[in-house]
Amino acid sequence: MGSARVLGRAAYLSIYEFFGFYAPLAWLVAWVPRVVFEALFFALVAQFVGGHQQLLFSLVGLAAYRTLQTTLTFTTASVSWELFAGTIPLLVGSPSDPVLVLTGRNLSWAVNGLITGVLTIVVAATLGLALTPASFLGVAGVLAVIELSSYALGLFLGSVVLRFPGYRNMTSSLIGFTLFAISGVNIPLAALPDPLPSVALAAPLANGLLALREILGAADPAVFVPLIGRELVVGTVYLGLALLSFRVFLYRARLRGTLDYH
Amino acid sequence: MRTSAAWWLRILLAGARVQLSRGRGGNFLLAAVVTPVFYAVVLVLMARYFGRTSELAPFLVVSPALIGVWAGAILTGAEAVADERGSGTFELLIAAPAPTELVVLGRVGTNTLLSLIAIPLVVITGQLLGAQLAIVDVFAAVLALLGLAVSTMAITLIFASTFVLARTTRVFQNVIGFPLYILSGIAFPLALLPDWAQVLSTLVALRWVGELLRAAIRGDSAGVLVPALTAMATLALLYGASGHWLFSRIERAVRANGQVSLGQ
Repeated sequence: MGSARVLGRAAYLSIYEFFGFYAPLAWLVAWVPRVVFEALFFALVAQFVGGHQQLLFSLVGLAAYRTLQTTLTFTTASVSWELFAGTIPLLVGSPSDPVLVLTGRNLSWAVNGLITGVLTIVVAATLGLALTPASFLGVAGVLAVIELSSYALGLFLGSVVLRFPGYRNMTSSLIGFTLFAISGVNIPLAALPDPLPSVALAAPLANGLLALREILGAADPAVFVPLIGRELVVGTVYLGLALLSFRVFLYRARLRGTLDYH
Repeated sequence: MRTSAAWWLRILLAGARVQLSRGRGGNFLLAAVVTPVFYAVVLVLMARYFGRTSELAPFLVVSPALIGVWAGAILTGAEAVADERGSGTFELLIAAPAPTELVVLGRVGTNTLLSLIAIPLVVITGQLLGAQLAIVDVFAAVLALLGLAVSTMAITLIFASTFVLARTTRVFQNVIGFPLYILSGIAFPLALLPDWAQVLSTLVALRWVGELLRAAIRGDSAGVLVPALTAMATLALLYGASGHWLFSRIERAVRANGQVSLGQ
């Protein structure tokens, strides 16, 4: 109960952090157009390269990828912001578990990631993607699952870059771009040489994206339910790694007295 | 006040030195190196999947390189001003007899030149993935790159001036890029855009850089060279004049209201 309260409080405070970065109006006139224009850019390139079917294929892939990348970028960075605020020693000194705060302090960024993915799907729908209310709900549900696994990966990367905070944006971008290239966003996973598909399936995004395409296609639960399950398992593994990494970081930093100047 | 060319040059070089010492960090590498290389990978892999690698290389290899240069420059415009603000030197810079605009131009220009690294990196990436790109008309290609460098520096002055106005304008640097990349038609033929957008695209220097570079690759730049060079020169002048006008007005405004560093 106490842990849930700390997690909830950290999530609540993350809303303030989010609106400190993006005021509601700035989010509306800067972030939303960015998402729309990025989708239009990739739609035009895909149309040029492979026609209308490729346009829809790429936009569905982009929706999943944007969900991941938005979350990855901000979640990875946001963990370091705790370091820059000089509050990690205070968290360690407090009676609650600092790992709970570090885990919950990015939740508003996760919501932003999910909205970004849904917005990209809306752009795809305006460009011809067939969506029913049921399939839209299914798509939103799968994007939420991708969001969770991406959040876990973001936490893991955030926990790692606490040791190298200067490289937070570079790390999240390198990992995100790699997944962009190998997770079946613009071409089918099967078209990539081995072992790239296996690498992609062991990370967030690829399983969820396959589920997303299945829901928008044949919609066979025997196919998409196991894929969603795998995406959740991948997310759980990364969450476990993140928690472990946070604990190792805090333990070593306390030993060395370097909690606030890594 | 001294206004000799040598004095102006010294200020520009001082800005360049500051940029070389402080502006080659992670964000620059991200915009000018990592992003274009990965965009090239993604776009070339898509063309390979459809068996159109060689045919589409002039669009799909050239565009990530140009995006890298412009993304690096847009980012620099924001970073240069934010860096001065963050270091507490922005008021000193504005109070100093040297024009702030020249210091910023020195920083921006240096980063634009550094951002050109995106071009060979993307070409090599494309070649590794099977997208061969040979320049037939080297003279036209060199002129296109010169036009790219000058117009990029000029347009970045416009972006930098808005970042002088208030720190919150930095969130808008995210939204500037993609509309310009769409309008320029660097990654696809302009015919895919509606008529009104094609008219607007004539105002984006990147369009003419892309057209001249693709013509240089095909080896038929004769019909493109003069219109592209004229457009690039005109637009660079237009961007530079607008940037100078905006920068002066905004600098005067923030001095008058005492919000050089406090502007939100």
